[in-house]
Amino acid sequence: MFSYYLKLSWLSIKRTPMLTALMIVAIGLGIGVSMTVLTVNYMMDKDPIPSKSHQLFHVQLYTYGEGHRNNRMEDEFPYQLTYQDAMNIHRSEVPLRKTRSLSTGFSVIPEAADMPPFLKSARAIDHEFFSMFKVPFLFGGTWDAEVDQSPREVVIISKELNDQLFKGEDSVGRSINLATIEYTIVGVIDSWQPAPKFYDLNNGSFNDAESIFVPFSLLPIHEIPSWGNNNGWRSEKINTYQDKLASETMWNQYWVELPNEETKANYQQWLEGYIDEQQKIGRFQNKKAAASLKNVVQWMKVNQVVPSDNSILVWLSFMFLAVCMINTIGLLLAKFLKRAPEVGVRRALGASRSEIFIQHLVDVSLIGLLGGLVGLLLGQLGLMGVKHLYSSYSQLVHMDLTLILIAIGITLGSSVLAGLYPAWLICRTNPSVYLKIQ
Amino acid sequence: MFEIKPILSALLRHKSSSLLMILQIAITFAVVVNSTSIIKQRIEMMERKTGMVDEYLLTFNTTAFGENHDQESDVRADLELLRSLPGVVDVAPMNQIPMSGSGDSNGVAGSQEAFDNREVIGVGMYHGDSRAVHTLGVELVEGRFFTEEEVVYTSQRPDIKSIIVTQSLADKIFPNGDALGKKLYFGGGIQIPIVGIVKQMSGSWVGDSIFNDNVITPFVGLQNFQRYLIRAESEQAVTRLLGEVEALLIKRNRERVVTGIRSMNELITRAYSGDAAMLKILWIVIALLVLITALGIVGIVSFNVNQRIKQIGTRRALGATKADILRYFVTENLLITSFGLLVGVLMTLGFNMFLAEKFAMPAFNWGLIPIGGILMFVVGIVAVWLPALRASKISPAIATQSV
Repeated sequence: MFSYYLKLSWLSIKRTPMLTALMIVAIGLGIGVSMTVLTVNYMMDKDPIPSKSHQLFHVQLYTYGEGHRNNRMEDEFPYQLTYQDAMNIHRSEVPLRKTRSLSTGFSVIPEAADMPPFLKSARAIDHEFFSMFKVPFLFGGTWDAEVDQSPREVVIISKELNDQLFKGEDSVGRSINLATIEYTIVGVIDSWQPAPKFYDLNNGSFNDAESIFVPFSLLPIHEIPSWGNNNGWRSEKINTYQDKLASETMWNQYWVELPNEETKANYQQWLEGYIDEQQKIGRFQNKKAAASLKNVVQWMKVNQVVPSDNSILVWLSFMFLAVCMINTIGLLLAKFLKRAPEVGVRRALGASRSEIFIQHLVDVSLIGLLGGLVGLLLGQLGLMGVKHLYSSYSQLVHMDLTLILIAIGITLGSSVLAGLYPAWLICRTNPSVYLKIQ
Repeated sequence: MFEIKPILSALLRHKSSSLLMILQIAITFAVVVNSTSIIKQRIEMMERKTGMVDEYLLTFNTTAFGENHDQESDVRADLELLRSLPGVVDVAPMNQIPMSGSGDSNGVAGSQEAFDNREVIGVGMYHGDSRAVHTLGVELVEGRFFTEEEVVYTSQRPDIKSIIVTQSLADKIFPNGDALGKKLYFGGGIQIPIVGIVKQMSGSWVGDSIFNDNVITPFVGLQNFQRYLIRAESEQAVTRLLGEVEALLIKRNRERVVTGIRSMNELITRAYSGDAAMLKILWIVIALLVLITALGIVGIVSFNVNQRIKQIGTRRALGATKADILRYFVTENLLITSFGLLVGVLMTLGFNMFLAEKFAMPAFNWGLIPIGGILMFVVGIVAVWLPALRASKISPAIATQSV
């Protein structure tokens, strides 16, 4: 029966090529435009670490003095921590894993005399960073836990830097000169590029991951510079690096892994205890002093990873799709009414209303599918355009299977929806009217 | 004369298809007008003057490694080298570069009392030597430039004795226009007298509310990381210098890396690249949407013409001219477009209120409504013209055939 419906639909498409082509173009453009916009949005908003996004928490402490706040965040908490706080809360044994974190960078001085020194972005972190964020290793692994207490010049480098300096060989045990200091390589990580770069949303949500990872414990020894934001609220004399370490400047980040609600509650309690303790010794004089734990999803949300331009475009593209669909309803109405005499004959010959109804929905679905195919092709074209327009999004811009299924779903759903009214109208055709004039 | 009554009753007989066209025109209008409003506002933002001699500027950074160098003599030697290059008008070491997307900001007030009450205004903090203002090419409208004696070279927190501010900031803090000679109050009891006012100078972040509120101080911070700004005599000189500076600087001192070599025009293009992309996308959306709506009108009107072949033939046989038939369809379309626009204006305002609330979009531009309306009428007439012309060519003889 279904194949008979399909056959009839195909015949009807051939009979009204102009109207059908217009509908396919309308649906195609609607799907193409909205899928282009949705893909970019979906990819930006995508959970970068689905298995752990609800166990990894970014720690914020309200350490501002009275009258100061972070206007860029709804709850007014500062993005980052002071060095003292990062050091102090690192004492807590409650989290399963934890890491201090600082965005930095080095001049890499290659051994080969013909290769000039170059700059690379880096991150100062603790040894659990890699297991927390599921960073894959190509060679070696992270440094020993004791390095986080008693610092040593060890380093983990990216695959790309390893290819550049060591032609992709296993470089574990070799050394690398970072701003005139020799570091021993303990690991090489495989290609790793979380998008968005959720573990540091302050410094470009879609920036490249770092090429060099060094122990955070080296900060006071080698005066590792901050390449990220340094937010001060208090006027302090900061003349040396040691002054900065002791200051209220907020320039470090802190992540913890809390595997369940209970640990989270315990940790929240631990942080509140810490705040009390600091209030007693005279720091944190603001009544608002508090701790906030935000998981990866919440952290992405408060940092507005998806720019508002993209959200505006999503709304515009839905209105665009609506216009295309209304257009299609109008054209369907025309197409179906043109066929009213034929329907009259079929009804008179015994076809039931529901058969006529289904026949027309099959018609619409077929047109919808063809339109959807055109739409997917146009969507690819649109994404190529987006890639061209926003070079930094290039890794985001591709349709995965989910998106293709969504596209097909939207097409079929909206075209059947568009077809309901015309199909209902036509199945109510009174056969006698058409029989008379034939 | 325009046969509005019969047209109306014909429209009422095809309620659903007329309603669909009205709705389609209304949404198209709402999208077109709101998109144009966004486009207009972005273009105004992108066309803001920076106040600098954009096309003659270029910048770069140096990151030194190793600890055996005197940073002050390093900076001075670099400046001497750069100033001696052909095509260079001026050079200054600076802590941040306008339009670059990174830099320092601070809060200032016009009195200690205002500062203590946290009535502070955000400013972009620019530091440089005595040549900085001239290198930027910003226009001094009051007061004086810095002298070389005033410039503090230090790796410590500087003791700054004079400051130059932008007109925009001066007007905000001292609305009476008497900023020159007054003091700006920073945290920690620091107060610095204003010695000069520049007409206009862009900040580092194009989307920021403090974009035009900037200060320049005579201070060169001595660190491993240094930024320089070069003012060249011509655009050709900029292009040449962009290719030359790295090798020349490394040749003078090998213990460093030179990065971020960019012209000011490139910085400006990068700063607005997101907005430029948004503009292109919106133009494409508008064009495609208008195309879809026009095609829809062509489709529906063609269908209507086919449905009414006999009636049209009869009208022609009864004495209607070709022009009458043409006018019938055009008037029908004008009516539908008018209804569409009535609904469309309401939708436009609704959508705009939604955007304003959800995305803090700026106020709506009423002037766009008549322009959008004219556009929709033109599109409607163009779309209806071909099928209507075909209708007008229907022979009166049709009326006498069959039936």
